[in-house]
Amino acid sequence: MSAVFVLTVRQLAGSRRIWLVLALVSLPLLAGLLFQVANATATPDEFADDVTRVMLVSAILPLVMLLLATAAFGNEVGDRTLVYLVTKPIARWRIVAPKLLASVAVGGIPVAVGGACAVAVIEGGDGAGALATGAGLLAGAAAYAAIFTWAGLATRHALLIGLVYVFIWEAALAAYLDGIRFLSVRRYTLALVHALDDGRLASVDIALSPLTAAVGTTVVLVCFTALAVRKLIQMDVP
Amino acid sequence: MSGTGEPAIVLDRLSRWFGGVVAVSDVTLEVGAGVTALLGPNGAGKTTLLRTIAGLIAPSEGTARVFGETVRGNQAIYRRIGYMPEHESVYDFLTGRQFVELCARLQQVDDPHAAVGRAIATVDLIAAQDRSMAGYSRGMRQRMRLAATLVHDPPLLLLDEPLSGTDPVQRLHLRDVIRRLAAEGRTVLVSSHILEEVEELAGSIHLMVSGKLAASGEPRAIRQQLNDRPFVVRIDASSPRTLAAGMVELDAIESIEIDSEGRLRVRSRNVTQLQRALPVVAQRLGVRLLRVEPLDDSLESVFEYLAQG
Repeated sequence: MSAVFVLTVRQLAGSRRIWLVLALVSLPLLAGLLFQVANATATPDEFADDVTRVMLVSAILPLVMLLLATAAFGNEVGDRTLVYLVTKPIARWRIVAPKLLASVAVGGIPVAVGGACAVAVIEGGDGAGALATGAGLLAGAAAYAAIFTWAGLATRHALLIGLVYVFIWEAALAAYLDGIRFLSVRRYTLALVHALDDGRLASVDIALSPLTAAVGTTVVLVCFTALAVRKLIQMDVP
Repeated sequence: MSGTGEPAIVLDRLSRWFGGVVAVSDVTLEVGAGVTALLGPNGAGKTTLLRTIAGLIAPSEGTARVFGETVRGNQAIYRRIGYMPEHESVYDFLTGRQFVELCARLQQVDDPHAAVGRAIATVDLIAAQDRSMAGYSRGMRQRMRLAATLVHDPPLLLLDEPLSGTDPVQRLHLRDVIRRLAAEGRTVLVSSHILEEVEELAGSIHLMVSGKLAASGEPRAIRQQLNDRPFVVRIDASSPRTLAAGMVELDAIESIEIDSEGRLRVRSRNVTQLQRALPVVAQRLGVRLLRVEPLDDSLESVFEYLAQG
């Protein structure tokens, strides 16, 4: 299992996408530093909430996870190296799980750390708020990783489908239609950050209970991981 | 090494199609210890058949059993199978040794370090083992991929075009390695589209054409069938009618035609005899041979002939 994890970390960290990931991850921290040096009109709480909601949770987190998690299997399906993994005496979940963990390690952890640092800078060293932001982002990263890892196996158009999900479903529909807010990783992430530190995102209308967010995140993680395992068992390996 | 005298691979009326395209049609065969070759032109269905045996794709109809078990969905059986795909894709960011080591670890080999060393030594690539595979020649990749295939010492090797891309020296070496692996009791199934290549390697050959099994037998028997097929040769000569009159009495000749451009089209069932007799007849009659050209010597035509037979 660790062999697949190490292999995938090397694959993802060595790809060109990692530079885009690093650039995206550095943006909130840059915004935080600008906030400190510029003569801002917003309060630190307001600015930290906007950075978290608009930059981190709505754009950077899903984009980073989309770029990396779709490549966790997508690269191997594309270049036909997947055969070297599936012709081994290991259960399919032991291929899927380390790949998912690797995309969280390479994408989710930098986003979480970057986000926590940005909040800490904006809030002038608010450790609890920074930790809550980092933990919430990490949970969201795991849920996105499961969805996009499955998508990378299921279709060659995973990036396109992921973009539609992030920017049409989550940013446009789930953000404004209360009826489908239960089906949005973005909402789960915001609710979890708020649940871990109620001082964070107090100005944001989340409309989702912490329990619902935790259950939703877990269900997404488990279901899409199971779907990826099922797909890997049933697919014709190129 | 397969343990019993039972064939390692048993295919029963196996078919596989992709949409409306039939890649493998109704193939029944058994493969036992030693080297067996799947021979056929490109697109004959060899790779699809090997991929089905390896459990990478499911049969549309029929069954494929390895050591008496179904492979598809049976991960444990991969301890006993080494599969080398046709395409040469590898993890380019790994060194050769890291790649073989990855396969050893995934195979849960007891002593990966020793197994990796043995496998790489078998393919004679110790000197290049710590170089990135991105810089390997095609032949080196083939050899390192073979090392990765046999690192867990499996009793069954499925090798898809293992000699392709190798230079003559590498080919001889790989051929020896494959023979040696089989001599140790393994079952080795190799695919190729080159008769001469498998003729010296395999103890038996299964010919495939258009997804079907066209013929099976020892290399010598297959070669004989190839030699016995009707063969058409086009001959340009300084005096075609004189040459035709001289050749018509030869036993090897089935028919002779002269086309509109004055060239002979000679049909024979004994190529060897024709090759020997033609220059003798031409010299005796004082005819100069300008060009002798086989018209249907493509591999496809050979396979088509055998498939019809």
